[in-house]
Amino acid sequence: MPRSLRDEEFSEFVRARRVELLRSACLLTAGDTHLAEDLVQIALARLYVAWPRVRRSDTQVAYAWRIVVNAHIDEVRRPRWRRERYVPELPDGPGPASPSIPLGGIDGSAIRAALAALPPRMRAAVVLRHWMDLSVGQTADLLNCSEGTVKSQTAKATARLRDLLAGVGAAATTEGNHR
Amino acid sequence: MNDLKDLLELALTDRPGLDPAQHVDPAGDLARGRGLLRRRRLVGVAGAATAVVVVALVPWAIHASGGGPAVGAHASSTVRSAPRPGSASSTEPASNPPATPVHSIALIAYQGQQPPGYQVAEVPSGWVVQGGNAYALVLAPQDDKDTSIDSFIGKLVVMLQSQGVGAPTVGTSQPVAGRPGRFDVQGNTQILTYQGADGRWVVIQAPTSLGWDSTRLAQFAAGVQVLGNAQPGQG
Repeated sequence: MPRSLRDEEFSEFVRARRVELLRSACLLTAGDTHLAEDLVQIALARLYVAWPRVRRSDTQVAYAWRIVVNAHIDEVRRPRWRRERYVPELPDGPGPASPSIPLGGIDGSAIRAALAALPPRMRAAVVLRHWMDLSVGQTADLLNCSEGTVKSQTAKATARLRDLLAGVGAAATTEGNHR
Repeated sequence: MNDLKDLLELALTDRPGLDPAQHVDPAGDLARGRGLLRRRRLVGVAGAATAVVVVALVPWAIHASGGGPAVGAHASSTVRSAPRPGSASSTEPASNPPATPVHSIALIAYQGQQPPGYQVAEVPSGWVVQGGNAYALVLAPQDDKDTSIDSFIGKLVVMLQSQGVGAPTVGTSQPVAGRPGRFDVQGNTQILTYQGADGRWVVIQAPTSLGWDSTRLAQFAAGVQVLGNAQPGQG
Protein backbone atom coordinates (compact mmCIF):
# COMPACT_ATOMS: atom_id res chain seq x y z
CA MET A 1 0.00 0.00 0.00
CA PRO A 2 1.55 3.36 -0.96
CA ARG A 3 2.61 5.32 2.08
CA SER A 4 0.96 8.49 0.79
CA LEU A 5 -2.45 6.81 0.59
CA ARG A 6 -2.02 5.21 4.01
CA ASP A 7 -0.99 8.55 5.49
CA GLU A 8 -3.88 10.36 3.89
CA GLU A 9 -6.52 7.90 5.05
CA PHE A 10 -5.01 7.55 8.51
CA SER A 11 -4.80 11.34 8.95
CA GLU A 12 -8.43 11.67 8.00
CA PHE A 13 -9.36 9.02 10.55
CA VAL A 14 -7.35 10.78 13.27
CA ARG A 15 -9.01 14.10 12.52
CA ALA A 16 -12.45 12.56 12.65
CA ARG A 17 -12.10 10.14 15.55
CA ARG A 18 -9.27 11.12 17.86
CA VAL A 19 -11.23 13.29 20.27
CA GLU A 20 -13.96 10.69 20.49
CA LEU A 21 -11.37 8.02 21.33
CA LEU A 22 -9.74 10.29 23.87
CA ARG A 23 -13.05 11.09 25.58
CA SER A 24 -13.91 7.42 25.86
CA ALA A 25 -10.42 6.59 27.11
CA CYS A 26 -10.73 9.37 29.67
CA LEU A 27 -13.84 7.71 31.10
CA LEU A 28 -12.04 4.39 31.11
CA THR A 29 -9.25 5.93 33.18
CA ALA A 30 -11.75 7.64 35.49
CA GLY A 31 -10.68 11.10 34.36
CA ASP A 32 -6.92 10.63 34.07
CA THR A 33 -6.35 12.56 30.85
CA HIS A 34 -2.61 11.83 30.77
CA LEU A 35 -3.10 8.08 30.90
CA ALA A 36 -5.96 8.38 28.41
CA GLU A 37 -3.68 10.28 26.02
CA ASP A 38 -1.03 7.56 26.38
CA LEU A 39 -3.57 4.86 25.61
CA VAL A 40 -4.87 6.67 22.55
CA GLN A 41 -1.35 7.31 21.25
CA ILE A 42 -0.53 3.61 21.61
CA ALA A 43 -3.76 2.62 19.89
CA LEU A 44 -3.32 5.00 16.97
CA ALA A 45 0.30 4.01 16.37
CA ARG A 46 -0.71 0.35 16.22
CA LEU A 47 -3.66 1.22 14.05
CA TYR A 48 -1.31 2.92 11.56
CA VAL A 49 0.72 -0.28 11.31
CA ALA A 50 -2.44 -2.35 10.80
CA TRP A 51 -4.07 0.16 8.47
CA PRO A 52 -3.84 -1.90 5.23
CA ARG A 53 -5.69 -4.72 7.00
CA VAL A 54 -8.45 -2.68 8.62
CA ARG A 55 -8.97 0.25 6.26
CA ARG A 56 -11.68 -1.35 4.15
CA SER A 57 -13.40 -3.36 6.84
CA ASP A 58 -14.90 -0.37 8.62
CA THR A 59 -13.51 -1.69 11.88
CA GLN A 60 -10.91 0.95 12.53
CA VAL A 61 -12.67 2.33 15.59
CA ALA A 62 -13.29 -1.13 17.03
CA TYR A 63 -9.66 -2.05 16.40
CA ALA A 64 -8.40 1.11 18.08
CA TRP A 65 -10.80 0.74 20.97
CA ARG A 66 -9.76 -2.89 21.52
CA ILE A 67 -6.15 -1.72 21.87
CA VAL A 68 -7.17 1.03 24.28
CA VAL A 69 -9.10 -1.40 26.49
CA ASN A 70 -6.40 -4.06 26.46
CA ALA A 71 -3.64 -1.55 27.09
CA HIS A 72 -5.57 -0.12 30.01
CA ILE A 73 -6.24 -3.51 31.56
CA ASP A 74 -2.57 -4.43 31.06
CA GLU A 75 -1.64 -1.18 32.75
CA VAL A 76 -3.73 -1.79 35.84
CA ARG A 77 -2.49 -5.40 36.02
CA ARG A 78 1.13 -4.32 36.24
CA PRO A 79 2.64 -4.99 39.66
CA ARG A 80 2.00 -2.10 41.97
CA TRP A 81 5.71 -1.53 42.65
CA ARG A 82 6.33 -0.94 38.95
CA ARG A 83 3.40 1.32 38.49
CA GLU A 84 3.08 5.02 38.89
CA ARG A 85 0.16 5.98 41.05
CA TYR A 86 -2.33 7.90 39.02
CA VAL A 87 -4.62 10.36 40.68
CA PRO A 88 -7.34 11.93 38.57
CA GLU A 89 -7.35 15.14 40.58
CA LEU A 90 -4.47 17.21 41.85
CA PRO A 91 -4.56 17.07 45.63
CA ASP A 92 -4.22 20.83 46.04
CA GLY A 93 -5.99 21.98 42.92
CA PRO A 94 -8.24 25.01 42.81
CA GLY A 95 -11.83 24.66 43.83
CA PRO A 96 -14.72 24.87 41.38
CA ALA A 97 -15.14 28.29 39.80
CA SER A 98 -18.81 28.37 40.69
CA PRO A 99 -20.45 27.18 43.88
CA SER A 100 -23.39 25.91 41.89
CA ILE A 101 -23.60 22.12 41.82
CA PRO A 102 -25.20 20.74 38.69
CA LEU A 103 -27.44 17.71 38.38
CA GLY A 104 -28.76 17.68 41.88
CA GLY A 105 -25.45 18.24 43.60
CA ILE A 106 -23.27 15.98 41.47
CA ASP A 107 -20.37 17.45 39.52
CA GLY A 108 -17.79 15.97 37.19
CA SER A 109 -15.20 15.27 39.86
CA ALA A 110 -17.74 13.31 41.92
CA ILE A 111 -18.59 11.16 38.93
CA ARG A 112 -14.93 10.57 38.15
CA ALA A 113 -14.30 9.60 41.74
CA ALA A 114 -17.22 7.17 41.58
CA LEU A 115 -15.87 5.69 38.34
CA ALA A 116 -12.44 5.33 39.94
CA ALA A 117 -14.03 3.31 42.73
CA LEU A 118 -15.10 0.65 40.23
CA PRO A 119 -12.76 -2.22 39.29
CA PRO A 120 -11.24 -1.55 35.84
CA ARG A 121 -13.13 -4.25 33.95
CA MET A 122 -16.41 -3.23 35.56
CA ARG A 123 -15.72 0.36 34.58
CA ALA A 124 -14.88 -0.73 31.06
CA ALA A 125 -18.18 -2.60 30.82
CA VAL A 126 -20.10 0.52 31.82
CA VAL A 127 -18.23 2.75 29.38
CA LEU A 128 -18.59 0.31 26.50
CA ARG A 129 -22.28 -0.34 27.09
CA HIS A 130 -23.56 3.04 28.22
CA TRP A 131 -21.14 5.52 26.64
CA MET A 132 -20.20 3.84 23.40
CA ASP A 133 -23.59 2.13 23.05
CA LEU A 134 -22.03 -1.22 22.18
CA SER A 135 -24.19 -4.31 22.39
CA VAL A 136 -23.70 -6.93 25.07
CA GLY A 137 -22.12 -9.20 22.48
CA GLN A 138 -19.71 -6.53 21.23
CA THR A 139 -18.74 -5.65 24.79
CA ALA A 140 -18.17 -9.31 25.66
CA ASP A 141 -16.00 -9.66 22.58
CA LEU A 142 -13.89 -6.64 23.48
CA LEU A 143 -13.50 -7.66 27.09
CA ASN A 144 -12.94 -11.30 26.17
CA CYS A 145 -15.61 -12.59 28.52
CA SER A 146 -19.10 -14.08 28.31
CA GLU A 147 -22.22 -12.04 27.64
CA GLY A 148 -23.52 -13.08 31.06
CA THR A 149 -20.44 -11.59 32.67
CA VAL A 150 -21.00 -8.33 30.83
CA LYS A 151 -24.60 -8.17 32.03
CA SER A 152 -23.72 -8.87 35.62
CA GLN A 153 -20.75 -6.49 35.61
CA THR A 154 -22.83 -3.70 34.10
CA ALA A 155 -25.66 -4.22 36.56
CA LYS A 156 -23.30 -4.24 39.54
CA ALA A 157 -21.48 -1.17 38.25
CA THR A 158 -24.70 0.76 37.75
CA ALA A 159 -25.89 -0.11 41.27
CA ARG A 160 -22.53 0.84 42.73
CA LEU A 161 -22.49 4.17 40.92
CA ARG A 162 -26.02 4.86 42.08
CA ASP A 163 -25.04 4.27 45.71
CA LEU A 164 -21.87 6.34 45.48
CA LEU A 165 -23.49 9.27 43.70
CA ALA A 166 -26.59 9.21 45.88
CA GLY A 167 -24.34 9.79 48.87
CA VAL A 168 -22.57 12.67 47.13
CA GLY A 169 -25.85 14.25 46.04
CA ALA A 170 -27.31 14.08 49.54
CA ALA A 171 -24.20 15.59 51.09
CA ALA A 172 -24.14 18.38 48.50
CA THR A 173 -27.81 19.11 49.00
CA THR A 174 -27.31 19.35 52.76
CA GLU A 175 -24.33 21.62 52.25
CA GLY A 176 -26.34 23.76 49.86
CA ASN A 177 -29.17 24.12 52.34
CA HIS A 178 -26.76 25.37 54.99
CA ARG A 179 -25.43 28.15 52.66
CA MET B 1 -30.42 8.51 39.37
CA ASN B 2 -29.79 10.55 36.22
CA ASP B 3 -29.40 8.89 32.90
CA LEU B 4 -26.00 7.22 32.95
CA LYS B 5 -24.87 8.66 29.64
CA ASP B 6 -25.58 12.19 30.85
CA LEU B 7 -23.57 11.51 33.97
CA LEU B 8 -20.64 10.19 31.96
CA GLU B 9 -20.84 13.26 29.74
CA LEU B 10 -20.74 15.43 32.85
CA ALA B 11 -17.56 13.63 33.96
CA LEU B 12 -15.81 15.02 30.87
CA THR B 13 -17.09 18.58 30.86
CA ASP B 14 -14.33 20.17 32.91
CA ARG B 15 -11.43 18.06 31.61
CA PRO B 16 -8.96 19.86 29.31
CA GLY B 17 -8.48 18.85 25.70
CA LEU B 18 -11.74 16.97 25.32
CA ASP B 19 -13.81 19.47 23.39
CA PRO B 20 -15.42 17.52 20.53
CA ALA B 21 -15.23 20.59 18.27
CA GLN B 22 -11.50 21.14 18.67
CA HIS B 23 -9.15 20.97 15.69
CA VAL B 24 -7.00 17.85 15.57
CA ASP B 25 -3.55 17.83 13.97
CA PRO B 26 -2.69 14.24 13.00
CA ALA B 27 1.05 14.91 12.57
CA GLY B 28 2.07 13.46 15.93
CA ASP B 29 0.07 10.28 15.54
CA LEU B 30 1.33 9.93 11.99
CA ALA B 31 4.95 10.21 13.11
CA ARG B 32 4.45 7.71 15.93
CA GLY B 33 2.76 5.27 13.56
CA ARG B 34 5.58 5.57 11.04
CA GLY B 35 8.15 5.07 13.75
CA LEU B 36 6.44 1.93 15.00
CA LEU B 37 6.13 0.59 11.46
CA ARG B 38 9.80 1.25 10.79
CA ARG B 39 10.88 -0.47 14.01
CA ARG B 40 8.73 -3.50 13.25
CA ARG B 41 10.18 -3.78 9.77
CA LEU B 42 13.72 -3.61 11.12
CA VAL B 43 12.92 -6.32 13.64
CA GLY B 44 11.26 -8.37 10.90
CA VAL B 45 14.30 -8.12 8.67
CA ALA B 46 16.62 -9.07 11.51
CA GLY B 47 14.37 -11.99 12.49
CA ALA B 48 14.17 -13.31 8.95
CA ALA B 49 17.90 -12.99 8.59
CA THR B 50 18.45 -14.89 11.83
CA ALA B 51 16.17 -17.65 10.58
CA VAL B 52 18.14 -17.87 7.34
CA VAL B 53 21.43 -18.03 9.20
CA VAL B 54 20.08 -20.74 11.53
CA VAL B 55 18.83 -22.79 8.59
CA ALA B 56 22.19 -22.42 6.92
CA LEU B 57 24.18 -23.27 10.03
CA VAL B 58 22.23 -26.33 11.18
CA PRO B 59 23.46 -28.69 8.43
CA TRP B 60 26.94 -27.24 8.76
CA ALA B 61 26.89 -27.87 12.50
CA ILE B 62 25.65 -31.42 11.99
CA HIS B 63 28.48 -32.05 9.56
CA ALA B 64 31.09 -30.47 11.78
CA SER B 65 30.02 -32.67 14.66
CA GLY B 66 30.10 -35.83 12.52
CA GLY B 67 26.35 -36.01 12.09
CA GLY B 68 24.23 -37.39 9.25
CA PRO B 69 26.25 -37.99 6.11
CA ALA B 70 23.70 -36.87 3.54
CA VAL B 71 23.02 -33.49 5.13
CA GLY B 72 26.64 -33.07 6.08
CA ALA B 73 27.83 -33.76 2.57
CA HIS B 74 25.47 -31.16 1.20
CA ALA B 75 26.56 -28.58 3.72
CA SER B 76 30.19 -29.34 3.08
CA SER B 77 29.85 -28.82 -0.65
CA THR B 78 27.91 -25.60 -0.03
CA VAL B 79 30.70 -24.18 2.08
CA ARG B 80 33.38 -25.15 -0.39
CA SER B 81 31.56 -23.77 -3.38
CA ALA B 82 31.52 -20.25 -1.92
CA PRO B 83 35.08 -19.14 -1.31
CA ARG B 84 35.74 -16.62 1.41
CA PRO B 85 37.22 -13.26 0.50
CA GLY B 86 41.00 -13.41 0.57
CA SER B 87 41.05 -17.17 0.65
CA ALA B 88 43.58 -18.82 -1.68
CA SER B 89 41.86 -22.14 -1.60
CA SER B 90 38.26 -23.18 -2.05
CA THR B 91 38.75 -26.12 0.30
CA GLU B 92 38.28 -24.32 3.59
CA PRO B 93 38.01 -26.52 6.67
CA ALA B 94 34.40 -27.32 7.48
CA SER B 95 34.79 -25.68 10.89
CA ASN B 96 34.78 -22.22 9.31
CA PRO B 97 31.48 -20.33 9.18
CA PRO B 98 29.60 -20.06 5.88
CA ALA B 99 31.13 -17.75 3.37
CA THR B 100 30.10 -14.13 2.89
CA PRO B 101 29.47 -12.71 -0.58
CA VAL B 102 32.64 -11.93 -2.47
CA HIS B 103 31.01 -9.57 -4.93
CA SER B 104 31.09 -5.99 -3.78
CA ILE B 105 28.95 -3.51 -5.67
CA ALA B 106 30.86 -0.37 -6.59
CA LEU B 107 29.73 3.16 -5.84
CA ILE B 108 29.08 5.46 -8.77
CA ALA B 109 28.20 9.14 -8.93
CA TYR B 110 24.49 9.89 -8.76
CA GLN B 111 23.11 12.49 -11.11
CA GLY B 112 19.37 11.84 -10.96
CA GLN B 113 16.63 13.68 -9.13
CA GLN B 114 17.15 14.15 -5.41
CA PRO B 115 14.30 13.22 -3.09
CA PRO B 116 13.04 15.61 -0.38
CA GLY B 117 14.92 15.52 2.87
CA TYR B 118 18.15 13.97 1.62
CA GLN B 119 20.76 14.27 -1.11
CA VAL B 120 23.12 11.54 -2.20
CA ALA B 121 26.41 11.95 -4.07
CA GLU B 122 26.97 8.27 -4.89
CA VAL B 123 24.79 5.19 -5.26
CA PRO B 124 25.62 1.50 -5.70
CA SER B 125 26.13 0.62 -9.36
CA GLY B 126 22.89 -0.72 -10.81
CA TRP B 127 20.84 0.76 -7.99
CA VAL B 128 18.40 3.64 -8.17
CA VAL B 129 16.83 6.07 -5.76
CA GLN B 130 13.47 4.38 -5.42
CA GLY B 131 11.88 7.24 -3.56
CA GLY B 132 11.83 9.07 -0.33
CA ASN B 133 10.26 11.66 1.87
CA ALA B 134 11.17 13.63 4.94
CA TYR B 135 11.43 10.42 6.98
CA ALA B 136 13.47 8.10 4.79
CA LEU B 137 15.44 7.81 1.58
CA VAL B 138 15.14 4.42 -0.10
CA LEU B 139 17.51 2.96 -2.71
CA ALA B 140 17.01 -0.39 -4.40
CA PRO B 141 18.33 -2.43 -7.32
CA GLN B 142 17.06 -1.09 -10.63
CA ASP B 143 15.07 -4.26 -11.35
CA ASP B 144 13.64 -4.63 -7.85
CA LYS B 145 9.99 -5.67 -8.16
CA ASP B 146 9.23 -4.35 -4.68
CA THR B 147 8.73 -0.70 -5.53
CA SER B 148 7.02 0.33 -2.30
CA ILE B 149 9.12 2.82 -0.39
CA ASP B 150 7.44 1.54 2.78
CA SER B 151 9.24 -1.74 2.33
CA PHE B 152 12.89 -1.73 3.39
CA ILE B 153 13.72 -5.38 2.86
CA GLY B 154 16.87 -5.80 0.78
CA LYS B 155 17.15 -2.06 0.26
CA LEU B 156 19.53 0.70 1.23
CA VAL B 157 17.73 3.10 3.54
CA VAL B 158 18.80 6.42 5.06
CA MET B 159 16.84 7.93 7.93
CA LEU B 160 17.30 10.08 10.97
CA GLN B 161 17.64 8.43 14.37
CA SER B 162 14.28 8.41 16.16
CA GLN B 163 13.67 11.19 18.64
CA GLY B 164 14.74 10.40 22.15
CA VAL B 165 17.36 7.85 21.08
CA GLY B 166 20.87 8.99 21.86
CA ALA B 167 24.25 8.05 20.50
CA PRO B 168 24.62 4.37 19.54
CA THR B 169 26.48 2.08 21.91
CA VAL B 170 26.48 -1.22 20.07
CA GLY B 171 28.73 -2.31 17.24
CA THR B 172 32.22 -1.22 16.26
CA SER B 173 33.49 2.30 15.78
CA GLN B 174 33.26 3.54 12.20
CA PRO B 175 33.75 7.27 11.73
CA VAL B 176 32.10 8.99 8.80
CA ALA B 177 33.95 12.01 7.40
CA GLY B 178 35.67 12.43 10.74
CA ARG B 179 32.46 12.32 12.75
CA PRO B 180 31.67 9.53 15.23
CA GLY B 181 29.72 6.51 14.07
CA ARG B 182 29.17 2.88 14.88
CA PHE B 183 28.71 -0.08 12.59
CA ASP B 184 26.64 -3.12 13.49
CA VAL B 185 25.38 -6.19 11.67
CA GLN B 186 22.01 -7.76 12.48
CA GLY B 187 21.41 -10.84 10.37
CA ASN B 188 21.81 -9.83 6.75
CA THR B 189 21.40 -6.16 7.53
CA GLN B 190 24.25 -3.76 8.20
CA ILE B 191 23.46 -0.69 10.23
CA LEU B 192 25.68 2.36 10.34
CA THR B 193 24.69 5.07 12.80
CA TYR B 194 26.73 8.26 12.64
CA GLN B 195 26.56 11.89 13.55
CA GLY B 196 25.71 14.11 10.60
CA ALA B 197 27.25 17.50 9.88
CA ASP B 198 24.37 19.24 11.67
CA GLY B 199 24.78 17.10 14.82
CA ARG B 200 21.77 14.89 14.21
CA TRP B 201 22.29 11.13 14.21
CA VAL B 202 21.73 9.40 10.90
CA VAL B 203 20.97 5.72 10.45
CA ILE B 204 21.84 3.86 7.26
CA GLN B 205 20.53 0.36 6.81
CA ALA B 206 22.19 -1.70 4.07
CA PRO B 207 21.72 -5.32 3.00
CA THR B 208 24.79 -7.55 3.17
CA SER B 209 24.03 -8.52 -0.44
CA LEU B 210 25.83 -5.31 -1.42
CA GLY B 211 29.02 -7.02 -0.32
CA TRP B 212 30.13 -3.88 1.48
CA ASP B 213 32.27 -3.59 4.54
CA SER B 214 31.94 -0.81 7.10
CA THR B 215 34.44 1.37 5.24
CA ARG B 216 32.47 1.22 2.00
CA LEU B 217 29.26 1.94 3.85
CA ALA B 218 30.93 4.93 5.51
CA GLN B 219 32.05 6.11 2.06
CA PHE B 220 28.43 6.04 0.91
CA ALA B 221 27.39 7.82 4.11
CA ALA B 222 29.92 10.57 3.54
CA GLY B 223 28.09 11.42 0.33
CA VAL B 224 24.71 11.68 2.03
CA GLN B 225 23.51 15.14 2.93
CA VAL B 226 20.64 15.42 5.37
CA LEU B 227 18.61 18.50 4.61
CA GLY B 228 16.82 20.69 7.09
CA ASN B 229 13.40 19.32 6.22
CA ALA B 230 14.36 15.73 7.05
CA GLN B 231 12.45 14.56 10.10
CA PRO B 232 13.16 11.87 12.66
CA GLY B 233 10.61 9.30 13.70
CA GLN B 234 9.19 9.57 17.18
CA GLY B 235 9.02 6.97 19.90
